[in-house]
Amino acid sequence: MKKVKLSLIANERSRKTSFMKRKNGIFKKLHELSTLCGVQACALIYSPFIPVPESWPSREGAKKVASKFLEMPRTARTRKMMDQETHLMERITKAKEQLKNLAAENRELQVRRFMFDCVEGKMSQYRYDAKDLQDLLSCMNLYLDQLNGRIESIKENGESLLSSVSPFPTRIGVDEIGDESFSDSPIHSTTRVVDTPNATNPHVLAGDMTPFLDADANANMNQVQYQAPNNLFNQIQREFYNINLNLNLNLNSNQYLNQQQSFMNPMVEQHMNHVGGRESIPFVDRNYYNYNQLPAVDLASTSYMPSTTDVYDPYINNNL
Amino acid sequence: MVKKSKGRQKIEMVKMKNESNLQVTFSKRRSGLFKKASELCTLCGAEVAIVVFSPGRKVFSFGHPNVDSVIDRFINNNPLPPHQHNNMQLRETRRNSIVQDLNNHLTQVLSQLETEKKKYDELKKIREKTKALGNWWEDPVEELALSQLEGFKGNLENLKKVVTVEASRFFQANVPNFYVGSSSNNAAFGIDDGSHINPDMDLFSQRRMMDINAFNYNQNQIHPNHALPPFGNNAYGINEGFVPEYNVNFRPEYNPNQNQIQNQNQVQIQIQNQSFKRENISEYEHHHGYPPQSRSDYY
Repeated sequence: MKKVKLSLIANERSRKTSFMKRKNGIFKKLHELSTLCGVQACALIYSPFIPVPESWPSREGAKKVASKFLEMPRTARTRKMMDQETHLMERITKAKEQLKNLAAENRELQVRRFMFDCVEGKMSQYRYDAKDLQDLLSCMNLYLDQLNGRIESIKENGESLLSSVSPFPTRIGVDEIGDESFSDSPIHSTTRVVDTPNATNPHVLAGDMTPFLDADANANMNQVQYQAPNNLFNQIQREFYNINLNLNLNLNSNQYLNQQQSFMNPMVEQHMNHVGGRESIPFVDRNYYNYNQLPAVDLASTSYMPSTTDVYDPYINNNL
Repeated sequence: MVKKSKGRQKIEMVKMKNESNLQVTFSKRRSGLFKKASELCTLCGAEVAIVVFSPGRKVFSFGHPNVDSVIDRFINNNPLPPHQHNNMQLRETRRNSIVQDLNNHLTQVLSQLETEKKKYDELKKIREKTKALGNWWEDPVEELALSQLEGFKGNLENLKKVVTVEASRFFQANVPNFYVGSSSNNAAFGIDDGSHINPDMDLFSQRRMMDINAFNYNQNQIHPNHALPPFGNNAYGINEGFVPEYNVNFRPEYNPNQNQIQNQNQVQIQIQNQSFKRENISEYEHHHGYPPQSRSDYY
């Protein structure tokens, strides 16, 4: 599908051809609308090329509908009247609303994807900042509430226990894979390495599977559950020193300035503001207002900075 | 022909019987019709008026330049457009400019909407891939068994603890380093203290040098041991006494950059010499008043 640029077509021949095609398309649509909904309608189209107007359904029919239109009271006539400006503004508003809703939904899906990847031990593949972690915590809290609610409803309702037996064949499959993995560790290691290049993942994935293989073996369960957080923590340790602010390519879209700003680390932003304010000190005679704004930034950034506000008082006095 | 799916269907071109469907169809088709008319005006420079009476006896109309002028022209059989007055031409030019801006804005928003839709499709595709891999824990909660729910819940709670620690570290990574790392920067400037010709000018130049370097830090990766230097150079001796470890550890790191610092310093001196004398005095006085306060704050 070729996108048409919304501006006057420069080539006069192309413009004329486009006019004829689109005019016929509009008349066809008007015909369908009036037929399907059983309503009266008319269209008048003046072309720069032809002095006589094109009209639908016919000249007499259009005149009839136009006269009926003119006979209506002024208020009724103008209540639903549109010109190109109001029409375009209405469409822009509608599109922006749609965009906002879709962006919010995409953000939620991304954070959920991030959560599942972290559970699987892939946290090191992401570039994230404080905002992403906050969203991740909110998503996990919400999901845990859903899990708890579901667990409660299953325990309270006896019949649900019967239905929980029906997924048993799936669990048998999981058991088979698990047994095979544990019986031959080289095969187990090879399989996991093929899945993910990170060598520490086998332990994490094994930790996910073990509780369902030997639910009665407390020793194994405790041992494996103890390992998983350590592995994740090690990955986070490595990830910490590779932080790249504003480079969350997996989660962010740089096309949206407002969204990009919300992904910035608030502390870093404040530091940048602070540095900018400090940078302007040498030129204070020409940027008096920036100088005045500096103390506010200091107050916002760190707890001990307010005391430095006094530093600028002597200069203000000197200036006076 | 009967279609298998309930997607886009061909419909019979007769009046609809279902009243609510008729209302929805009218609303959608009227909107699409006006959109096409607007495009015709923009692309071909046509003047248009469309009048539609709704099933509810309301009247909807679209017109360019406006409905009344086009209908008047039609009723009165006036073939010539009313371009006789300069005032009309000016208004039309302004209207066209506004419409062009609105069209550009609409195109931009629709383009962003397209991008978001593509992202949505990609996320859905990823989910289908993980479903094929057998990631049962990503299924809706209602479809999981009790043992699966409890197992995943445990994993999620462990992950939550890890992420909470990570999130708190993000916050601490800025505030303490800002304070602790400043002394090492002072040490670096302290090394250059004796290599400048004009002591008064050098003190201020170093002050500005520190600001520039501090600003550069924010554009690079954040390192735990580097931060913005809030103190003046006169506090060098006091800070060194209090945190000798940092001074010892980071002094060699600055030696390779000594030439670069000196070059920047010369540039600053040149800029300073070109300033007015009044500014020199003001800036010097300001600089003089800075260190004592920071020293008090440090205690």
